Amino acid sequence: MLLQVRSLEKSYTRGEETVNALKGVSLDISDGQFVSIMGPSGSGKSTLLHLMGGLDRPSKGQVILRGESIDQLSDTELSLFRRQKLGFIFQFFNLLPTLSAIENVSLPRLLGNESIKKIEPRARELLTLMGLEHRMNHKPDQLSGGEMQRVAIARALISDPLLILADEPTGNLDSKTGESILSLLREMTQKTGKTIVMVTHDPKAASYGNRLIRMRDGVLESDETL
Amino acid sequence: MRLYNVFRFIGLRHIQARPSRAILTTLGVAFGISLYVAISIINHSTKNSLRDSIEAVSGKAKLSIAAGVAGFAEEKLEVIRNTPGVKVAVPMVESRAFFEGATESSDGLQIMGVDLLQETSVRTYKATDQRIIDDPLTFLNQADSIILTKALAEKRGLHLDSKIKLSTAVGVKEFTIRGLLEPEGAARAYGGSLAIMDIDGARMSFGKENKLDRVDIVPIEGTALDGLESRLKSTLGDGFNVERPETQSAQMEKMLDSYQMILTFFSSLALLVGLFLVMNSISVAIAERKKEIGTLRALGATRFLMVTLFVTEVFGVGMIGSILGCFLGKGLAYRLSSQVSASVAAQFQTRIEIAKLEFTNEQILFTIVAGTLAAVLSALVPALKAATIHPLESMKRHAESMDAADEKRSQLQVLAGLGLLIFMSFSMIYSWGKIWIGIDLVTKASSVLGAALFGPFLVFILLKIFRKAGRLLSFPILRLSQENLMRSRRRTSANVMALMVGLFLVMLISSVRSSFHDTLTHWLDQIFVADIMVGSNGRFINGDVQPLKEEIQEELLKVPGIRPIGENRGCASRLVPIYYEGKKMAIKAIDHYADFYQYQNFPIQGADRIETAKKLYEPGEPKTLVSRGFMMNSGKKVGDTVELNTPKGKIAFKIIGEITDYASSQGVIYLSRSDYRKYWDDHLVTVFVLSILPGYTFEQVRSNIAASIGRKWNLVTISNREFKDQMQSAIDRTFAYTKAIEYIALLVGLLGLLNTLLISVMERTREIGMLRALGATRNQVSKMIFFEAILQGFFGAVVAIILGSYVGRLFVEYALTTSLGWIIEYHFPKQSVLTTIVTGLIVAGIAGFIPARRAAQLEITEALDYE
Repeated sequence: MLLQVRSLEKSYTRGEETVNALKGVSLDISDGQFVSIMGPSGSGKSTLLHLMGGLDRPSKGQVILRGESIDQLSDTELSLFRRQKLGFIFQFFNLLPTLSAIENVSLPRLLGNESIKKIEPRARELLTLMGLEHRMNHKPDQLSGGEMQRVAIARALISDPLLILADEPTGNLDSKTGESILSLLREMTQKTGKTIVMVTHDPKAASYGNRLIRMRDGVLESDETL
Repeated sequence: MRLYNVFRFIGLRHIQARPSRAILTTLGVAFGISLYVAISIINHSTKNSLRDSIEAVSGKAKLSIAAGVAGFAEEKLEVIRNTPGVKVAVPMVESRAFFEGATESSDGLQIMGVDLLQETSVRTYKATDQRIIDDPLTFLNQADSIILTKALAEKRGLHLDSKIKLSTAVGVKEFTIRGLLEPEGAARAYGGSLAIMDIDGARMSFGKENKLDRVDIVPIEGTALDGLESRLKSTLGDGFNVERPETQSAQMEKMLDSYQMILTFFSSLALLVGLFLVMNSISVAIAERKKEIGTLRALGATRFLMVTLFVTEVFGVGMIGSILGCFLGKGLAYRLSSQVSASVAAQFQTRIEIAKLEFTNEQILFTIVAGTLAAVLSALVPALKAATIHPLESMKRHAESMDAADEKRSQLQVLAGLGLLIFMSFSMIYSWGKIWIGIDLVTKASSVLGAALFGPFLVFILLKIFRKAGRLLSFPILRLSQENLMRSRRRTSANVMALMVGLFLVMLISSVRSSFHDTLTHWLDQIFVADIMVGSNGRFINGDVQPLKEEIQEELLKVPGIRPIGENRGCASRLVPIYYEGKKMAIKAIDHYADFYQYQNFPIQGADRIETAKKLYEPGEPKTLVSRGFMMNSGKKVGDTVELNTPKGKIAFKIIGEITDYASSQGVIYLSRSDYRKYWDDHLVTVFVLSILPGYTFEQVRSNIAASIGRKWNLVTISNREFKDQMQSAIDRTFAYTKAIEYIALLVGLLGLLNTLLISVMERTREIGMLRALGATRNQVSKMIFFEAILQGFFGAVVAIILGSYVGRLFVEYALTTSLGWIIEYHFPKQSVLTTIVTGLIVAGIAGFIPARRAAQLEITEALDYE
């Protein structure tokens, strides 16, 4: 099993009110799955993604990736975990405006101990795979939304992660571009066997996955294979 | 590799993307460092010159004997020579002299009257024509002979055989330059401003007949120096100083220490303002890059890596700024050295000519390393804050500008600022700095840090008050600007802090300057009741004039228009320095002036002025009036006796009262001139004070003096007004160097404000876009940003006035007394209030102009889309 989520709870305070964002969620994700998590605003889907990615810590419960529980890791260990084992795709792309496409792709490994020379061939390969061979040295402000998200996908793949987490990856794109990005993600799981967990509120986007989990009010509502 | 990657791909890219910001911050560091470097160079060079000068004059001598400015009887030379262990004892007569017509201390030179036949056994000289030294008889046969240093000759356009006119105790005398000295041996002394004369010629010219000022001793080889020193002391008795050159040097250096510490303090403040700029720009940059930091964290950057990122960014800025600061500082040192020398001379009645401004490679390296390190340290606090930014920030569309943690941190900052100000107040009032020098340094640093951290809080209070008043105004843009400032505390604090610290420094320096000025001019108005003063060339105000013979008094009193002074009264006074318990003080020996002065020049504390002053002149035991500075330094009180070293031994003077006098910060001792003459055997006069008969004008009397005896004695006559003007210009000179500190602090403040305002505009791009979308015109947006700058400038200035004058008051009333011995009354610098506000508005206006234009130029759609 690649990922095991056990009785995950997350609560936080907003003013004087305590909000229970997750109320004991458990699920297993196997290698090669493209999991879509759907739900309305406030359902807890993003919180679940954050906890799976070690971006936040649970109030209770466990996240286990390839047999290793991440909730006991220190902040530094958690950073290394994210850098080496996960890939992130953000809704707003989160590319560094001062870096070119190829440099943005290389960023997670640059944060490690590798030289750009060593990373570059793989970064080029990934950008070519994304159809961006003609955009390698362009800065984000010279790219379209779809191109930016392709760069972000390449960045998510650069460290050859175990799991890719995508937070509304098409939320900031027009429908046509969104569809091409989703096709790309699906193709990626099929060709490379990568596991993707994608959070979305769009049923059409969710349909690109091979498993659909619905959430409501901090609990899993349904879990079906597509 | 990781560090390299982070710097190359993130830090450096940001610098390249926003070069103006990096340039502004670098310049801020450079200006801050430059002043610190300049003052360090001057301080270091002053001490080196002092040490060199003492070593150069001492030559091979291991001991020197002196007895103060008035000198001692030449018969003592034989006594010294006959003391067992003395191999050679070489006499010298010293005097300050002035070129004819000199009105400035810088037109003076040191005369060394030496016995050229014996001189080379102690000091070495290298003349352009060495025969003058090797065979001095030719030189001695011509009574008008003088040897100048080559440097002085070049400075004044003189050469061999040139004639020079010097004012002497017996009027102007003409001398012929018979030799020029290379800058070696004794010629290195006094920064080269010296001349060599035959000892007898010097005695005649400078009123030192049958006297010596100094005897330098070379002991017989193998003689224990300690033993010889005590033998000489017991043979000569009290009143003689037998010192080793290194002791003289150490004593003078100690005297300079506290003064140099004040200079260093002021220059450190400018550096601190520069470092604030670094801290601010990094703080604001972190706020702006919050989302990017969140992304990097999400992609696996550790907290440590985030700290490293900002530290490496600042490292480059700090290092380039420090290198630039070294160059600027050296240039500034050249400009400031004469001002600081003038200030030292006014403070200690000692001119130290800086021979060479030295900035060694080691110092340069140290400055660059220390400057870079200081910049890095100042960035550390915001960098640590960056490390706490949560990876979840990457998931938000726009990073939040102010969260609860920021709010809490800003409250902590206010409390820390208040704590520092309270600590500083207690430390100054109770002189904690005396316990350990470290406390003194922390106290002074606390004043600026406290003001910087607490000041923005006061600005918010003023803004709140202004908001209430502003509701009455129907000026929506101004109200909007003011609301914006209130809403973003972090941003406003950062902007205000940058400017306020600069203005705070201006106000602090103004407080000190104005207190000195008002106290001294008030004192002078009180004590200076004579119509005219008559002396020779030089500067009257600090007594740095060529002394005159007392016989001139008789001739002066016969000049038409001079009011008679009555029988057994005099009009002369003598101002000389004296060392008392290792501190340099001043003796003021005053004739029993005419009755019509009613002792008004004796500002006696807590006793009847006339009755107490009269006692000074009553026969019987020697008496004195001493200043409060003296009382503080010596621990004496009225009724005690004070033992002073005189060439006739230790003489006890009874303290009959306390006077106010600022001739020396360490202490002033008033004596009747008859007592002074008796014990010091000094008949010279520093200045004559006279009154004009009714019916005559000052100009008439001045021409009468010039026409009768003026030329013969080379007299200079100045009026009461002119004397006070000299005081004004002396104070201005003493504080001239502080102007440079103020300008640099303001410049750094301007750069700081410009930097933070520019970043603010970027940070608020979407907000500005939204305003434009809602219908605000470009002009309105521009005005809003400009008004924000102006409001921050105005309220920053008001708070700088409040805090600057408060710290200034403590500084004047406590720190100056503890560090330098000055007992000065605090005077609020009224004239600086308007200047500070106007400066604040101008600086803010300049700093606000570019960001306002930039905000107005933003396109609505781009602004709304801005990440």
